[in-house]
Amino acid sequence: MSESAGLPAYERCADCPGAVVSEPVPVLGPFIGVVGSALCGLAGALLLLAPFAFDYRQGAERMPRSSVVDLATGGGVLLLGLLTAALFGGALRKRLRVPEPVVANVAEPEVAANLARVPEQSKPEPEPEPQPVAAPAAPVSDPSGALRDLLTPLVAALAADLRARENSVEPEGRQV
Amino acid sequence: MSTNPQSPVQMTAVAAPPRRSTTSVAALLGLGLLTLAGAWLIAAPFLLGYHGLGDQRRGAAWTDATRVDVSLGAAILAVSVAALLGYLAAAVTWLARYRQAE
Repeated sequence: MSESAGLPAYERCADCPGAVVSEPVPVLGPFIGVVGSALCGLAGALLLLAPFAFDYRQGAERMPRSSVVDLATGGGVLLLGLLTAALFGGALRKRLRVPEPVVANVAEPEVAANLARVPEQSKPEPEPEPQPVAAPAAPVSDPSGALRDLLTPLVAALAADLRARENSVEPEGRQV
Repeated sequence: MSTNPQSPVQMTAVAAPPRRSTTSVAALLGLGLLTLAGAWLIAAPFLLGYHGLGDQRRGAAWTDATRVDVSLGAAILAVSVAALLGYLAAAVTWLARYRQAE
């Protein structure tokens, strides 16, 4: 199987060629395996109980051969089913681990410059009369830059999307 | 659509190289063994010489043990084969969806 158990691969986004998105992890196969092997384990448990539930012995001194076969095969199927379910569960758990996040690097300096001007532009101009509306604008000029760090990938992705749309519209001369 | 060389965003992914999972291979091997166990359960009442009281005899009506063995063997065989085929179908579907360019 070519499905990897490590971190998921990445592919190009069709709408925004400048960005890459992670592929969905294949989890359907291991899930089917878990369910199937668990059902087989239940069938093995039923095989273990069948000689006693249906009274194969029927008063005989020795246990009949069919009971021996059922007990041996049922035990084997039960163990094998549980082991297989555990293996599929382990594989499923591996694939469901949170992948490493995609690191975004802003390469164009004008975007960073525009972003740096955002708090300054949004800062309200001093007015002669103090208004209570200007009070919520205080978090915009966050000295720690936490808001800037938060908005950097969003603005960068928005700029990439707009740039991609402009490139797709200009050669065709029509709106998408 | 040509790719813009001055793309504003350069997204780089840090991911480990894909490696083959031995866990999945072992689990698939377990499903194969379950398939063989189901086939063995179907054939066991007729292959083994059951001669005790309540055992299956040639040409006689099926005993309870034979019915249980054949029915549970068929169930195990069907479930394990369905799981194998389901796993294969899911893997092929995923490969066809996300690995067309390779």
